[in-house]
Amino acid sequence: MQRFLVRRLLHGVIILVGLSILMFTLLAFTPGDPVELIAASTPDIKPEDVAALRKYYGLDDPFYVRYFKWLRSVLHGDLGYSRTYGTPVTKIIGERLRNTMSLLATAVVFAFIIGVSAGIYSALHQYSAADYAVTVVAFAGHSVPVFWQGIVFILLFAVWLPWFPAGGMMTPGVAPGWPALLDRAWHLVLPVAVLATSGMAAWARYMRSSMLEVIRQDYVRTARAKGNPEKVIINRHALRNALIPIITLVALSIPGIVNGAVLTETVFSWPGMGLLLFQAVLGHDYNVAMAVLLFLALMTVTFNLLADVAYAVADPRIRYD
Amino acid sequence: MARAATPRQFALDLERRRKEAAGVAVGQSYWQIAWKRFLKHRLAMIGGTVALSLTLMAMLAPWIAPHPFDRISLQHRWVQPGLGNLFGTDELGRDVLTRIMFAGRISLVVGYVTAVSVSTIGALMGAVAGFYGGWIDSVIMRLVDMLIAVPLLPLYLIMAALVPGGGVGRIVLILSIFGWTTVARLVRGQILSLKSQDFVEAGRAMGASEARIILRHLIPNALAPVIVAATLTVGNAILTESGLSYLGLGIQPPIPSWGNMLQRAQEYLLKASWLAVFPGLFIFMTVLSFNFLGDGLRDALDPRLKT
Amino acid sequence: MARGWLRWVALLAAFGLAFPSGAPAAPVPRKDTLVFAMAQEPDILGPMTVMAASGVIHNIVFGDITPFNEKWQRTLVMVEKLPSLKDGDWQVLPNNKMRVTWKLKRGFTWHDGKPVTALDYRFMYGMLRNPQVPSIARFIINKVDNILVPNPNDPYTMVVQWNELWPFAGTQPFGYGYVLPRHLLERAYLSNPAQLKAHPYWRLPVGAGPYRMTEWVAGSHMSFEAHEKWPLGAPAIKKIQLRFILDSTVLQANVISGSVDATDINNFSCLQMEQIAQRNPRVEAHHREAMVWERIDFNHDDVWLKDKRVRQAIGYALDRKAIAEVSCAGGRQPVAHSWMAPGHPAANPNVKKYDYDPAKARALLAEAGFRPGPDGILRDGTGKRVEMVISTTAGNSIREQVEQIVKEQLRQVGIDVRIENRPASVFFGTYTTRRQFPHMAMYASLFTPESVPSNRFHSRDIPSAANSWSGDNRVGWRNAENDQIWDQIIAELDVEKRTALLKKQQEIFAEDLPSLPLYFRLDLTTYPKAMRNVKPVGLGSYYIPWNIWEWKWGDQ
Repeated sequence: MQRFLVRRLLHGVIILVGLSILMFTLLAFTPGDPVELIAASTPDIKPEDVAALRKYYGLDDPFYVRYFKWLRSVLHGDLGYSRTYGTPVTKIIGERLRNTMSLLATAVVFAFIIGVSAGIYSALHQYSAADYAVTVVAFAGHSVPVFWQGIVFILLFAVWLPWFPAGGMMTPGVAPGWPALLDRAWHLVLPVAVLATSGMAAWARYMRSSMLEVIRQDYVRTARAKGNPEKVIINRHALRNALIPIITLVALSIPGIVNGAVLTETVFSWPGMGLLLFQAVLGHDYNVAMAVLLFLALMTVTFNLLADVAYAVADPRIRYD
Repeated sequence: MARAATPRQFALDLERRRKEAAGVAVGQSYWQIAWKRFLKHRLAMIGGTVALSLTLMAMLAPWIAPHPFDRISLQHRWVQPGLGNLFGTDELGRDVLTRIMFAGRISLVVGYVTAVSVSTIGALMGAVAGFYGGWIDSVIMRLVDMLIAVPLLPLYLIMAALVPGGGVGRIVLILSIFGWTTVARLVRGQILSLKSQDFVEAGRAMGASEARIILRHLIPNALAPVIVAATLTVGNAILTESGLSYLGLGIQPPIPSWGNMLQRAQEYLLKASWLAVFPGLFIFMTVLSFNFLGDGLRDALDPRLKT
Repeated sequence: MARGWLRWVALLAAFGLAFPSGAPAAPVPRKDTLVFAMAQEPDILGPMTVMAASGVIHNIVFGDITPFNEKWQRTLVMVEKLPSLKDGDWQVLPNNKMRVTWKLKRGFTWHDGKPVTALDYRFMYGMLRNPQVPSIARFIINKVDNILVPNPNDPYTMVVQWNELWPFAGTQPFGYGYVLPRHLLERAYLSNPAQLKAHPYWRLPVGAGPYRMTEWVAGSHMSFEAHEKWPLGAPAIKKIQLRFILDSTVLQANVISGSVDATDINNFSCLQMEQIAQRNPRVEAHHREAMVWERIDFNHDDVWLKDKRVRQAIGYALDRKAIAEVSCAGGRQPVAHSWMAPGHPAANPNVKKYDYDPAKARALLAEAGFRPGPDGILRDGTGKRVEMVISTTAGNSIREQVEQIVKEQLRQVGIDVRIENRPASVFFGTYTTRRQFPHMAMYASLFTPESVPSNRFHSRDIPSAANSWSGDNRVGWRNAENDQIWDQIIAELDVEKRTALLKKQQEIFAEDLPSLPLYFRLDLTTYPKAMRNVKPVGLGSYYIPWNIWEWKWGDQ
């Protein structure tokens, strides 16, 4: 187990370093850097001013030199300055992280509860009308473009039926405390509904099949043959075992949900990491883009590791070589 | 969007494990059984029929479209859906149904070509990794781990900014470069489990070259999960293209795609909601039908799932 | 799975539904806080950014020394008067040098209480003139030799010494509309001018304008509070929140639902404005004539386009009235006949006009030696098929629509057009500024009544590798008469004479047609109908909050 952990940790580090190289290289070769943009909007700019700006932005080195400079400062805990916002990256990310986390966590929790319950219900009532409905709706949830769903929701629930705000994170001037909290929750409803859809759909389907598989296992049959009440069988035997693969699934779903978050945050103007990342990539704010991406990768790697550990703890049959 | 990517990977993984355990027998009877099973899968049949009809509609667009493609008519802007224009007209008086048919060509081509290229790259990578093992396997699998660890949309964004142009080739390139990992993992798994089996050993003993073993024996054996993954990729690629288009980085007008039609329509949401509704519905329908189809194929090709 | 079902209901409901129009039911209460929103978030504030969004905040936090009002006239806010040649406080010296004396109004204070004096102006000038400071717009400031405060006991009088003639030396001290506080920036500037851009001041500046900035939550909003000591009268609206809503559809929904009171830089189309006006009758959806010149640049190095007749033929082949109408319906948007907007005092209405006339276009092309080929597309003298590329900023839906019309209408006269758009970063990064577009590029330029865009039209300013791509004559227009007239305009201090020269220049422009003017885009803003004294200006750097201290609710 210990060796396994060390090896996984090592893999994680390799993945992160590899990613940082890949990202940095791609970003470095993207045309239209900030100095070019400034120069374009200022036609009377002097060449020496352009040179000074390039130096100011540290663009006068070849990209690999820049990479190592960046890596060195990151290893010293310095993520650098945001080119766009002129503030330390850590400061910006801190703000955005909270916003994204409130959105992501709420969406994941809702998706998990609803998806898993629907999956269980569906499995226990296989081939019923409800089962078919869950299957079809889950497929639909998979297949609908996130941003389109967001737009339609805004149209329906913010414009047509003015129940929810059409975007943003809070109403200005709401008193702090409970009113502010409620106001935040109010703003969360539509983006969470949109973001949770895919996870909900995926987890409902996999919970269903995982549950079906477990129900057919020998030990469940044995339990049933022994005359245990159905409730006990489901709760004590089936459910626990069926949930194990879902743990891994949730961990593996994180990057996909973050993809959805980029679009959801854009549609709903939610000031989170997804929106930040999108703007950073388009605005050539390399330090921010690198930091956000690596943070997301770190999060995924950690989740995977945790999932593996959880899996090992929950299912003693799994061995590690 | 590649929203289903990871859950699907997981499912296919489960799949692989199951297959490894079952030691799937491959042969004519297997495909025949699979076909019969597929025909019984109701949702898959619906999905298949819809996918086929959509593909036919796109292929035959120049002949069956009710209006000439991209004919501008400034006198007929914003016509509501009705008898003259079934899906209405857009901001330049172009017939929306016609545009949807032609845009379908682009969107479906993006889907199909991406599916083929992703499967090819993935199968090759997976086969090489699984067959050779050792450091080659490590490098490829670390690459795969890396790409699975990040949300791909940001990588697509960077690639979109990096690769010039606005056509189909560019999107396919962007989607393929990072999209092959699922298939690679599947194929590698299959290869690993098959490698130890008798016919490979026999081939080796008979002095067959490694390339020949990969091409003639291992890949055909790993085909079933690849077919499933490829089918699901069609829908996924269409979703991803529409997401990139929404962010303004997908297929660029004047080439129409469902994604960029939607992006345009957003602005006119209140004046002409039909412009957003129809392309969205077509994306939704297409993706849904390919997902049904893929699911049916999976059930059909995996003898263990149905009991 | 309630959500899933809801989506189905939603889908069905969205299916071709006409949404009920009319106002949302709840009445809007008189709020203490005015919610303002934009579709752009600035990077930083101050003179080291090029973003329009920063300008809106400058209006609020810094105020303006001599803002343009809604009639496009300079008004006096922070100075006693505009120096003029007639009054003698603007003198022309030998060798074309100038000396301009400014009297500042007393009573303006920075938001931390310190008075605003001429020393602040002098500091700002020196700082921006320093080549080590990564500032950008130095075109005007480089013409200024020095700023003096001649009497230490009178820090409200300053003398601006000019190296060369500049016609607008009497409207702004040195080309900037606001001033920066010396006492807050000098130390950082002196210790490291090259890193000044990273100073936290630019994220939360202390200004001297009508409002004090209290916070900037990146990606979300900014907050402002009224500066009670604003000498032109304490603002009636005590608090402002400025929200950044980047998606214009979402922004529109916010305006309609009433959660946003006013917008500028909103990326709205005229259609979206129409919807707003229909659905929320409390909102004034304001269309203001502006100086945003939409045009198609021709690359004069192209063998076909270097021929004036071809350019003119394209002018006749396009129905620019229809194009202006597609961009903004209702005949509100004026077709452009030159680069100068009709509202400009020097606009010349009698230039050559290219009304839609495909027959004339065909005749001109025939005269230029083009013959139709078997496919209906023209062939040039060497037999080459006439296919031209048009580009614009990818993702701009209006421009992409215009391209479709251009393609269709040029096809009618035998020119095949291929559309190849570029992302804005590339389009403005190198594609136009380094003249990489093969034939036609469509985009807009912003002018003000004081624009002297000689660098856009003078042949000296054709960007090339040799001059490090400086200059802005991206079409590569070479016309000796035009060059000469610009040399005169730039040095002409007399308004009447300058106006005459500008009118003449427009005639040359319209005849030679270096670029094809399309229309002047309107400036679109929204604000509450109940709000008094909102006076949109529609000029770059002057956004609707330019006079925000005068705004008040109708019954206040």
